[in-house]
Amino acid sequence: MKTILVTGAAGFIGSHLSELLVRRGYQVIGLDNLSYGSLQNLTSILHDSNFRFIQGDVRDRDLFEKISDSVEAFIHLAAYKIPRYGNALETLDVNAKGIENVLKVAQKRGCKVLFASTSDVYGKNPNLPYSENNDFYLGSPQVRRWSYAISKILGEHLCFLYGKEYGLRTVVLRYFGSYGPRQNLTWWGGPQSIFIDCALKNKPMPIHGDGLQTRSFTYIKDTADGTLRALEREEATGRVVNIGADAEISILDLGKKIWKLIRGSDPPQIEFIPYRQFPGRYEDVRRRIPDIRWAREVLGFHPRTSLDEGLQSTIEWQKGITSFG
Amino acid sequence: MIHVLITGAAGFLGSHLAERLLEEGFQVTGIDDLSHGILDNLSRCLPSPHFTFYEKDILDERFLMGFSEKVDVLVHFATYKIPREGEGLRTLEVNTKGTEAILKLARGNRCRVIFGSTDDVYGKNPELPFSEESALVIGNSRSIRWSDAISKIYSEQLCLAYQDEYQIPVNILRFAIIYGPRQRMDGWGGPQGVFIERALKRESLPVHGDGLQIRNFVYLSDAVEGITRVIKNEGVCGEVLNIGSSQSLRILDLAYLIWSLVGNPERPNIEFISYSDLWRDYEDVRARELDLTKAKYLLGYEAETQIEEGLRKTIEWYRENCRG
Repeated sequence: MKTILVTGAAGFIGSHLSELLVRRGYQVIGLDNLSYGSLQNLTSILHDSNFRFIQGDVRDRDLFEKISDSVEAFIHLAAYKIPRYGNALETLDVNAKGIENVLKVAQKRGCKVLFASTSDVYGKNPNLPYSENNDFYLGSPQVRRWSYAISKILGEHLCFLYGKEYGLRTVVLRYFGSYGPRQNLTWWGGPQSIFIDCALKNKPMPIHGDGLQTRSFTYIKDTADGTLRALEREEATGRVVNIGADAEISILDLGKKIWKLIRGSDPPQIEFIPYRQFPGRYEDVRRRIPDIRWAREVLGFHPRTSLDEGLQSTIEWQKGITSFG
Repeated sequence: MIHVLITGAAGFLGSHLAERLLEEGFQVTGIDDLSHGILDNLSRCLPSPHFTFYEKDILDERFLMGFSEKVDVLVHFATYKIPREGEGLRTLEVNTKGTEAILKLARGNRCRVIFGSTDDVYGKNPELPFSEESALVIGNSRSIRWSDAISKIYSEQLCLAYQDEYQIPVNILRFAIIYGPRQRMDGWGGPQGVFIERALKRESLPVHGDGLQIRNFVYLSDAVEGITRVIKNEGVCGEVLNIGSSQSLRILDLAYLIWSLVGNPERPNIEFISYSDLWRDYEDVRARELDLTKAKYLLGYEAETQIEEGLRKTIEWYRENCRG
């Protein structure tokens, strides 16, 4: 039975992926420092004999060495996100050192490494949809939001260079925004959780800019499925793989859809927030859609969950944990 | 006396800056591991009572931790460039960890940091000229060609993040290709060194790709002038600044120009080398031009040296120093 070490296991994607791996018969070691993840996310597998949770930081190499004895593959999800509200330094530091530690330990043991990168690396590239070979269009370093994408691009380079220089088997997964039960309830988790919260509480939904910026939203089960396929299929080794749903929707339409699913025909309450109200300078990306032909054709990855269906179960979950006091 | 610490001090740019600062009455400390720089470059600095040199690797944590002298400005030029096959990881490591080490030192010292970046960070951006606000357009991560640019972009972000977190005033200088006396002749510092060496031997000039790619060149003393102005002007702290010249030219034209400046009567023999013979997954940048409005406005900086004049001086230096 194969052992997989998942970093960021108590997070949103990490917990769903760990569940899927355990169900599939893997031994899973879940590492998380619980800075953003929570043990509650792991309730269903925490006492499973095929799952072991370790609280620790991805920057702690000694710990990695200690727990990696039997590991055959690393899935490195742990990351620090969203410099929108500051702390670019933490983002740059955690993300660069985390992947470096994983690669160093994996190199010693000959493990495979899956690295979670992000659609944010494509930045402001106007050529859509984004295939894995598209260029990165990054903005000025004076705009802190780019620190996240840059820390991930550095991680991608490290993965490929460990592949080239040490023959390590690495896969770079570029995740496009996921949503679903256990998603983070702040902007960290994306706009949908905020919109659901507002609609449940009958409060105006805050929309950044004009709301006409578009994104694709991938249901978490599909994200986990794509990751599993990249783990099990050797064709993915040495590649970048886009993991996301390719249906495009504007943030404004997403808000309206969520409102309708929760409040029916009530007219949606929307509050537009200009970007200039953010601290520091901020740059948004207008459109962001993945080209997933490669993953579809070679890995058989089909993000099947429709937005309505996925949002419905997300809303159900969020209802259960929202206090209306 | 203002104390400036220069990493990469025995290199081409670092050594000239050290000289200039000593002339202006600064106290200067140089650090260099001499992996690429040479002590000869510092022959005019070493006798000065205001100059101290340490042969140290910037990744030598114990040395940096023990470095307790008060520094006012830290100029970080130590870098690893042009990753060839097999040196990509080293490039990323030296450049990202080197910057981090320097920023930690600056944090302890409460001093300014001036970080030497490159116009390569603008990558494939098709919109010329590049202003400091232009997008950084970087190709696929599988191409090792971008590792150096990424290490610089990461370092730029790290500098600004330290400024945010710890109030370390930083400047990021994005340099064009700098040429002049003491430059390396092996292509590390750009094609002009190789062209000069080969032209003087009347050998064929190796041109990568079709030679129609355009690059921006700035003469050494102009670049040093720009850096010195940044050091003297605390008012520009926090700014990203292009340091280049108005002279962008095609690599093929540069080859012809150097050939004629050397005085060879016959036409040069150009040897075109396809990128695929040099690197795997290479992606060329077609054109680079720098918008220098900001440096002119904030620093009064203007590159004065014409390319013919600068190249003539460089060729002269090469004739005097390098032919055996």
